[in-house]
Amino acid sequence: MSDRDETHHMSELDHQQVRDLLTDYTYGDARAPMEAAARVAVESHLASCAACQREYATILRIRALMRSLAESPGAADEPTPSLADAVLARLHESNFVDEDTSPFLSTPDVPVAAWIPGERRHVMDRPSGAWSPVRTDPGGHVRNRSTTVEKTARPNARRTYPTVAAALLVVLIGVLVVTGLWHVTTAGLGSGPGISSTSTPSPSQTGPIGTLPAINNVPGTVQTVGQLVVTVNPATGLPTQGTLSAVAMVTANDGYAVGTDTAGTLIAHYDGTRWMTLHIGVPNGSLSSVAAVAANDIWAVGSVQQDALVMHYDGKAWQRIVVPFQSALQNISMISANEGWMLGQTEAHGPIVVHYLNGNWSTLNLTATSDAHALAALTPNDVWIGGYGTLLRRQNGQWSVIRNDINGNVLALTMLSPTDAWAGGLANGAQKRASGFGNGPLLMHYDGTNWTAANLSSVKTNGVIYGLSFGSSSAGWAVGLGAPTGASQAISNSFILGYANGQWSPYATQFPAVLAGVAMVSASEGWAVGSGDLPGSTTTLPIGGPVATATPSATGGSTPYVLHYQNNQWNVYAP
Amino acid sequence: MPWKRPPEEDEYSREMDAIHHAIHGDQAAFRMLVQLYEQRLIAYLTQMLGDHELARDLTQETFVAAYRALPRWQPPETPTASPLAPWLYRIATNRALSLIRQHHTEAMSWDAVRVPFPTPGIGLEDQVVARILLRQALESLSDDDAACLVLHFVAGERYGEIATRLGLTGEAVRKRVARGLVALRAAYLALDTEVRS
Repeated sequence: MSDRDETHHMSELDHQQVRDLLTDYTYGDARAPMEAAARVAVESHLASCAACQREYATILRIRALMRSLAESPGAADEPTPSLADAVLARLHESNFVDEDTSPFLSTPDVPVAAWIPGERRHVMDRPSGAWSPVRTDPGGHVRNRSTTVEKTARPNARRTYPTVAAALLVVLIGVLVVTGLWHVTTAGLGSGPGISSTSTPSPSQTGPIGTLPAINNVPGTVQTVGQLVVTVNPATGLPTQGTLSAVAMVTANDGYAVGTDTAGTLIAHYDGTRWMTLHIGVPNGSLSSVAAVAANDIWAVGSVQQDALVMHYDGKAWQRIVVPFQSALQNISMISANEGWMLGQTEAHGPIVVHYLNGNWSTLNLTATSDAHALAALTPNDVWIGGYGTLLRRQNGQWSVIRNDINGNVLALTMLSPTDAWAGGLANGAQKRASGFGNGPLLMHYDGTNWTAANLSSVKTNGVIYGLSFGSSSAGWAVGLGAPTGASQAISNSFILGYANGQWSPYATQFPAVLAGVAMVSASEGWAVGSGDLPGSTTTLPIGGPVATATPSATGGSTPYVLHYQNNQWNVYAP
Repeated sequence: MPWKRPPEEDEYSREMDAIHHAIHGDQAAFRMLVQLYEQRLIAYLTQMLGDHELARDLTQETFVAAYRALPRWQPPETPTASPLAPWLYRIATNRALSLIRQHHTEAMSWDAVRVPFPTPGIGLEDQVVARILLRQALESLSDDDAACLVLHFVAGERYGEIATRLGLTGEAVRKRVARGLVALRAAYLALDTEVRS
């Protein structure tokens, strides 16, 4: 895909634009295609700017240092003898089989990637399905190969072909294997600088909170989720009633959409061919946000009876993680498997930010705003929160208010780089559009220094933005709820704005749905999710003023709605 | 019947065929897979860890783990030249990062960074500094970010090449590389300050 489309104003680049372009510039034409105009502009800026020259020198130095490692000792040696014999000998030694070794998990003696020495963690002991506390072996070292192998070897394990066959069958059907019991895990509680923590580490809790039924995902059949029942629409594989709040894609062929249905939490998985409802969940719970770190590291957050709900998929099973704080959660953004942020809302204290780091949770009450909805994190120093009139940023472990004069409510944020971010939402009344009821959308861009309002001169209708996603820095989408146009009096009407060639413009088609989330896998493919109205619905419109929640509330009157962007158009998903 | 390399198929089908046989216990097929990938993985892990012997050990670990989990492996949606590559790189990256983080939690000092044979033409000091920077950056990154960092900044691969290798989109690679540079730059500036003060 195209890297940058900033050629239109190349003659007058500012420092930040130059710095954005420096990596591509440093790596030359062969590595990152860069238009000649951009190269000339960068060069002319560099010629007269000492600060950017220093920055360029730093990047050049880092580049030279890193490239020096390509010639690391041993790397340039002649081909060494093949490892094949040694590998086969080790397999033979360990009886060839270990059911528990997942390619996506750490070595057996380091069960969790981010290990905290001496701290108790709970991992699933697969054969028994029970949780057992494990401890790191202080001397345990990956090089100690005999221990590693012996520990995981199991006698008589050759008889695993039924398992193998079953696994293959499951792969063929394209169904997620979820077996065993639902368990509860507890993470320790930590605190960071400038952060008020709540309590001491909770004691571990174990025990099933519900039994998962066997996989039965035949569309149209009545299925149980925990003790509850949900009906799946045969046309979509999604529940007939419910709401989707968010979508996240790991790759073009692996993604998750979350929300709520009549049974409780709704999790749907896309396997490259179709969406399917997963038969797991928390009764009466709802999910509002999902983050995909990797295929085996998916997080979803929401609430169950005003309490926090955090769910995690580790490549084997979804688990509910019991967290040491009480707050309905509306947003999550992970920057790695070990670190991320969540945004919640408490009855008593208003918005709270939760920081997850290496298995520890810490919370901070946001006093700067009473109304926070949007969250985006890229690095520990590039975490943003948007709320009513407000944008906050975390840097060096501290949150600060960057803007408190925004004329509207920030409901969506996305970060492409530390110097390229977008905020969307609902503008205040003064920015009312010419037609339709309600107010106009809010869209702002961050260039590393300033947030500035986007040019929306081609957007003539009112609407509110709930989701933002970019397939590349020059192509993105904002989705939400728009005012009805023409004769349509449908309650929910989609609002879709596309960003291309440096311009936002409305997408030609309106769909009878409110769109809550969007996730692009590239500039040419993506998904948007939300909910449509069921006949006779009486859903109230969250439009016309500052809205109370970032996503429309789920009622029995709505149905999950999925749009697929492909071949330059959005279409209602049909498998 | 022992597995033999089919003569006239393309790379993808040949590899898929070998995988299929390896799943069913055919050692000759698995041997072919090891030989197909071992040099690439050793080079990659050597760049990441700066220790050729350690890289060989971890490559072995990677193949042992890969063999055991092979029945659960899912082929890519679209045939690519090296269907097993993304998966093998993930196992290798995960293990290398576990090792790096383990060393860190054991409070090993960076003095222990080993650079036994300085490469002619490149200062010993540079390689030590580079190794420290890389390790510090890697510690803070996710597996995929780390893999993109090493493949782009150290191995000098293009976004497209990395995307194929790791089964990611080009844009995802670009974002991960950008995060990698942020981490490297932070480590570099911290080190620079340390040296000056």
